[in-house]
Parts: sequence; C-alpha cells; structure tokens
Amino acid sequence: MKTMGRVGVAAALLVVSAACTPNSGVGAPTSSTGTAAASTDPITIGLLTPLSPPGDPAAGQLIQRGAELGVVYVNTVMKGVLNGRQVQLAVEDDAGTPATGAVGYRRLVTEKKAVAVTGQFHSSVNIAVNEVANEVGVPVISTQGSAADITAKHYPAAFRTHVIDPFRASSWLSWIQQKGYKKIALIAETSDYGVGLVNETKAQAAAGNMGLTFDIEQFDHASTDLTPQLLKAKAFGPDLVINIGVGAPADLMLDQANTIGLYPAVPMLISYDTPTRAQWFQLHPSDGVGVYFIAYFSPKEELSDAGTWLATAYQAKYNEPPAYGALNAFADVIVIAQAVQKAGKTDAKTLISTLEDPAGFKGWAAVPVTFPKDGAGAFFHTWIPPILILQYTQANQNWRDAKLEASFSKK
Amino acid sequence: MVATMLETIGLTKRFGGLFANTDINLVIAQGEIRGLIGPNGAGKTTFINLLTGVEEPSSGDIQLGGSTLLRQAPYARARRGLLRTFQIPKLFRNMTVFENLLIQHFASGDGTQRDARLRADGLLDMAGLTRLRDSPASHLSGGQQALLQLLGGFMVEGLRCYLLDEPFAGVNPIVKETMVELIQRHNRSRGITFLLVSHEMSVIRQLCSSVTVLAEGKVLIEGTLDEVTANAQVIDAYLGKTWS
Amino acid sequence: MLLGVDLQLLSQYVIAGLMIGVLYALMALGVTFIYSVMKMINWSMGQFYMLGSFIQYLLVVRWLGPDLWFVALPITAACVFVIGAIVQVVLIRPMFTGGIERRDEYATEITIALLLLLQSLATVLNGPDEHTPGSHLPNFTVGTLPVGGATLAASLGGITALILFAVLLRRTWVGLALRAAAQSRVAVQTAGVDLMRLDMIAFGIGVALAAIAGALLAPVYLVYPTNGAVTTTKGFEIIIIGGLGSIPGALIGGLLLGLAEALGSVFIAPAYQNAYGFVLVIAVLLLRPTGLFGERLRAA
Repeated sequence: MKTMGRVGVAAALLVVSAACTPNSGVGAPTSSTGTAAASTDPITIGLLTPLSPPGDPAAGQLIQRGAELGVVYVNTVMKGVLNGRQVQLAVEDDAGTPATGAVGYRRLVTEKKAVAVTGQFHSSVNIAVNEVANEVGVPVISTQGSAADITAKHYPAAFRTHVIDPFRASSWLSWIQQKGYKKIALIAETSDYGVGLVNETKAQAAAGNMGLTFDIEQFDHASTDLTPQLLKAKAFGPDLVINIGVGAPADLMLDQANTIGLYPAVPMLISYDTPTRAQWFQLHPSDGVGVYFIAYFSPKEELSDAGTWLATAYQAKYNEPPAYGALNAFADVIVIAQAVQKAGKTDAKTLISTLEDPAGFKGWAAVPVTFPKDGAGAFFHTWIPPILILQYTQANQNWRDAKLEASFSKK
Repeated sequence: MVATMLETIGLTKRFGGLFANTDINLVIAQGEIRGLIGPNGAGKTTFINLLTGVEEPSSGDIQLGGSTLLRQAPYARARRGLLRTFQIPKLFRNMTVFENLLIQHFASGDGTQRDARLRADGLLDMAGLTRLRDSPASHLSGGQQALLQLLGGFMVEGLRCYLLDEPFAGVNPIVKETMVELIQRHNRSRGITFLLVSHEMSVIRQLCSSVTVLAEGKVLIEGTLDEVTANAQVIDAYLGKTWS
Repeated sequence: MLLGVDLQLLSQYVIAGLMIGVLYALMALGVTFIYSVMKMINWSMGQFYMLGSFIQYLLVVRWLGPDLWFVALPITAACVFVIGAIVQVVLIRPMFTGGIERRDEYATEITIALLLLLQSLATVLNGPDEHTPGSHLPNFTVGTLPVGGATLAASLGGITALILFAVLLRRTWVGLALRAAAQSRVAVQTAGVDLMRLDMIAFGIGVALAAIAGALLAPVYLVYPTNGAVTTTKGFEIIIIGGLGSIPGALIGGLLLGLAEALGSVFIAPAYQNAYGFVLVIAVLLLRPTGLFGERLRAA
C-alpha cells in the first residue's frame, strides 16, 4: 500500500502537470486519422508557437489568442471552407527551442494532418522549422519571426507576415539620420534576432556612409542584470540607445538604464512593439514616458473588415485592444483558410502556388496580404506591415495617441 | 513483585535469508542492570536496533512498561523513556558539548527549557566536563565522547530504560570509572533500568546482577556472570563451535 | 586604471556584483539548507521564488501599497512557508516514512515534477503579462554606483533575512534540532526529535528563503511565471561552488558568484556574464570537487 501511495502520487502529479502544460489543442477536437478525408471532416491548421520556457510564453499566448479568434472568424463569418467544412486549430509548443520546434512541426503535419503551420515567434526556431518544411513541403507562415534567413533561402514552403530585420534596420537608420544622432549604443541579446539586427544596422550604416559610430553591448536573453552593459554604454557617451531585447530583458533594460542615469538623459528606442501592450505603464509608471518604439500599424490606418471584427472580439474577450502578435496570427489563420478556399484543395503544392497569387488575401490591414515569389533576398514570400516609430509623450498614454515620429512602408 | 520494565516476546529479525535475531524472549525488571554478552556477530546490536525502532522486527513484540512499542517511531520511543547509546558515539560533532546535551531535551517533554540548561550544567559538573562546555564535540577525545554520549541519556527527565551498546570500547580506565559511577548513581537515585552490551567482563561483574548470553541470534542462557561463563555451551560459542 | 579598466567603473561593478551576490546567496541557501537536513535536493526552488514574487506583488497591489512592502514581505514568507509545509507533507513525506529508510530518487522525481507543474500552472493562470509591485523608493548612490532604491532595499533585506536565519539556527530550540538533524538524522531521532515534523519545518523554511528573495526582487526583476529561472541556474551553481549542505558555502558562494560575474564583465566582456559563473564552477570541480566548504559524504 505504501508503494502504491508513493508511485500513485508521482504518477498523479505527472499527469496533472502534463495536462496543465499549455499544449492541448484548444477550440476544437482533433481530427480523426482516417485515410481518405471525408468531405465534411474539419480542416486542421497547425499553430507552432512558444508556450513554455526557454521560449517566451507571453508572446506565444498572444499569438494563440489571435489564432483562436481566427478559427472562430473562419467558421462563423466565412462559414467554413470548401463547402462548409469547419476549420480547427492544433497547437504545439515549440518552447523556444529549435529541436522542439522541428519535432512539433512534424507532429502537426503527420499526426494532426495540418494543411499549413503558423504561429512562429522565435527566429532561431523558425529557421530550424523551415529546414524541415523544405523537406516535408507543408507551408509555414511565420507570424512574428523577423530574421532574414527565415525567407532568404527561398524555400518554397517558407512564408512570412512580419517585418524583416533588414527593413527594420533601414527604417531606424533613416530616422536616426533625420534626428541627427551620431553615436549609437546598441544593447542586444545574443539571439538570432539580436545578433542579426546589430549586424544589419552596422552593415547598412557603413554601406550608406552615414558617419555613425557604434558601441555594441551584448547579453544573454536569460540575463536579469544588465547594469554592466549599461554602464559601459553610458561611458561611451551615446546620442541614442537602441534596446534590442525581447520580453523581460527589454523592460529590465529600461528600468536599469533609468537607475544608472543613462535614461532619460539619453533617448532610448525599443526595437519592437512591446510598449504597445497594456501592461507598459503598469510596469514603467515613471520611466515609460518618452521612449521611442516600433509599431506595425498606424491608428490612422484603416483595418479591413476582418481586422475590425477581430479588434471588437478581442476587446470583448480580453478587455484590451489586440496586440500585434494576435492581429498577425489572426490574419495568418484566415489567409490560410482563404487560400484553401481559392485552391479548392488542401495539398501542399497547390496551396503554396495559391498563396503566391499576386491578388493577395484579406488580412487585418486595409492593404491585402501578398507573398511575392519574386521578392529579392529576404523579401521573398514576405508580407511586410509598415514600420512606425512612435514616442510616448504622456504617462498612461494609449499607444494610438502616441506621437508619430516616422513611418516607413515597403514599397 | 517487581514490575517488568522491558520485555520482548518472540522477537525475530531476518534480512533476506539471514536470521539476525531469532525468537528472543527477554524480561528485564525495573531497576535492573542487565548485561547482554555474546561473541561478535551474535546479533546484539541488531537487538538494540529493534528495541529502539531503528529496525522493524520481522515478528514478535516489544513492550516497555507494559505497553507495546511496535510501530512507534524512534523519537516516540525516546519520549516514552527508552534511550540508547551507539557503539561509535553518535554525537553532533559541530555542536558544542553543552548543545549536545541540550538536544536531548526533545525527549523530555516536560520541564522548562531553563530546567534543561541547569540540568545540562549539572551533569557536566558531575562528569568533570565543565571546562569543555563550549568546545565543539569533535574536539573531545574518544573517551570523553563516550562519556558525553552517556550523559545525553541522563538529561532526559523521563528516562526509564537505558540501552548501552558497548559504551566502554576504547575508553581509558579513569573515564570508565566515571561512567560506571554515573550508571550506578542514576540506577540508585532514579531507579533507571539498564541493558548493557559489553565485552568488558570486569565492568559487567561490577554492574550487572544478571547477564543474558546471545549467540547466533538466539538467547543461549541467562544467569549471573559466573554461572554463564562456566557453562560449556557458552564457552563453545565464544570459541566458535556451532551451537545446536 | 587597473589592467586597462577605469577604477571607478571597476568599483561600480564590484559593488553591483556584491549586492546581487547577497540575493544569489539567499536563493542558494534554501536548497542547501533543505539538503543539509533532509538529504534531498529540491529542484523546484525557482518556482518558490516565483511564488514569493507573485504573492508579494498581489499583497502590495491589492492591499498594502508599495510603501508597506516591508510589511508584505514577512506575510509572503509566512504564506510560502505554509505552502512549502503542505507540499512537503503531501508529496515528499511519503517517501521518507517507514522507519529511517530513504528514497532520495523519488524525492528528486517529485520535485522535478513539481517544477513542471508549478511553472505550467503559473503560465496558464497568469497569461502573457508581466507585473511589478512598484516601488516609491528613490535612487541612491552606493560609492559611485547609482542604485535603484528597490535594489538597495533588496540587498539590505537579503542581509537581514540571512542574519535572522543565522539567529534562528544558533539561538532557538528549533535551530538546535535542525543543526542536529543535519549532522545525524539517526541520532537526532533517538534524542527524541520528531524528524518527520522537523523535515516539514525545514522544507518550509528553505522555500520561504527563496520566496523572500523573490519578494525582495519583485520590483527589480519583475513578476512573471518564468522569473524563477535565475534562482534555479544561479542557485545550483552556488551550491557546487560552496558545497552542498554547507550554509557558509551558500553565503560565500553567492558573493563569489556575484563578484566573478562582475569582474568577468568588466575585464573581459559583459556579454558572457552568465558564463563566468560556470568557469568558477568548473574551477571548483577540478580543484575541490566537494565545493569550498563541502564535506565528503560519509555513509550514514
């Protein structure tokens, strides 16, 4: 009896913990694994996104929110695809780890029979997954991976609905030129994202003869104490600090820069849109004002009817306006559904060539989503939202009211 | 009729195929100082381990003052007044001599903590260890450690039955004398019962009114020391011939 | 200048390193203390750090306000102590009952499963947001280093917690029993100590120490489900450096780790800050494998 008790407790604990791991497919039952797909069977879209460490579960959860609402939109507003077949989401956690992502992709495609996979956030995972996708053939639409290599290799199955870092770098370099900054401190995490951005920024500044000098400080994504890097950057005497951290490091860097007096004496640009999240001023009640940051859509820009639908549904469910990750994931799901509908079939090759259609698909923006087959370098198969550089001018400001510094679109 | 303090009934312990203790029936009266002797490997330490709850018996019963001790954890047995010393003194080496006595307070239950402190100082004085009061126990000589371990049991107000497992091993004659005196004094003044496992026949003779001989896990014979040492089977057991 | 580094910059780094070293020590102390008494490693310590940060955050934001953070702190510690005691009784004690036999492997399995459970639960329940209890403390300058008020408070709070822990161990009856149990689990039972209950108390104290670190650092390192990772990594590095089961080892090890990271950052590069600790770990393993203060494990 005692042995039963011990083993029983251990087993129960493992079962409960597995059930609690955010891994279970949400929103619909998993599809049957019949060989011939009956014409009323639901169609599965795979969501491969970080839901546990060392990945960023916060980012993955936002993406999952958008994707789930995308499925609702397809089933209720679009009334399903291919004569009323419902769409369902199968979710796999990539844990921010390339190997786990590769396994997750395979599982989605072979077991869950996903017609396409979306939801990627971490560039390093995305790159690894695309290698597998190149072999297997089922398309991957990257939701928020920005490293160039995700599409620069021109793999047919690789797609992306997000900015690419070369474009991000050129945008902020243009803005830096406008502002007249000369000495730039880049404080970047050592992930593919961070390293890629640093290299792009330096290379483009040199190629454009912009006359800039850089101080590069790096840190591990898991670091909590960035004071050493910030002290060195401060000693460099920069005109601008670019905060190239993702998740907690971005917030910690701002706070710690404030503590040592680097900020707000020296302005800070945050490399992505984390300040648009509702938590920004709760986390940074005093030092959150005055930061420059990137956003991907202008409040003045029109949303498509689908985008408007999402904004309303998201606000109703989560009590805050949708984060960009959710918007993008929503769009990815409905784009896949539209492509399936247009193709009339679900096989990978047809789907890929349908996605390449220059007419494009409805996304969240008024402008349609297109995946140019002739895009050079990393622009291949990539739809790039505009990059806006905004600045908070007041505490507790809604990001839509933030001052618009500059706006860049991929022409 | 003197009350029984410690009694085992059919106490047996086997480790796989090996019977370390077989069907031991032992009765010790209250206030007795009983010797437990026997050749090496006879199962004496196993027996003490069974009494204190370090090992669980395979079958049989143990009674202290009439109530069974079975399924009582060692600390509970200590709180009921059954304490023991270890062959290699199990002291708390990084704690001071004084603290080593204080820790025994947990077996007392009653008595305030201040009483415990006074008691500890009193015992140190009785044993002549006062000057080492605040030294770490690891600084004591072997003999002093054995003495300190012995004192630990006397700290406990509710001590009824004290099991001493080879307490004099490697102890010099002067310390041995002190220990013998302490045992006698506590036996007389507090009526404490003792079970003394030892090879030192002179001390057994000095202290024990009767002796139990254990060989190959079984009780061979009981009686005074002279009676048992004259017994042929006991001599055989010590010399290594098998006992049938 | 020293070895090409500005002395002021060096002093700033060293101060920062020592300040965080105190908190590293607190994180490691819980694991080493639990090991010293129960002879098992609690792999889920980072999750109790996280719990401490969440409870402190909730107490401050929902009830007490940031100015009373030091009132919330002991409440947080007490809450996590209770949670730890319950966890110990429900999940871990069954491994140890049945006389004085031990099942160390089961305890390891259970605490790793607990790590996964608590982390997943927190991620699911909390969602994607980070939080902070906020702090109204002004910035200070320590030496030449500007230091956040909350960071300084965390370091001082950490030192206070360590002192209180030392007092607990040295001067109370419970501390006496804990120290004795650390030296001999068998002897302490025959001395009349209820070891099962003592284990529960030891576990509760150990996890409360990590929770105190989490609560102190809540306004500094923020509150979110995966913030316990720091504790896990640094805590176990320190245990190897200082020696498993040694309390002075946890303290000195924590300070040494903070210093190693600071010196490595200033003389070599800050990018590899987390790597310098591992260099120290490897050095210790090569030169003194049981840790600076560790003892060779004796049987029984």
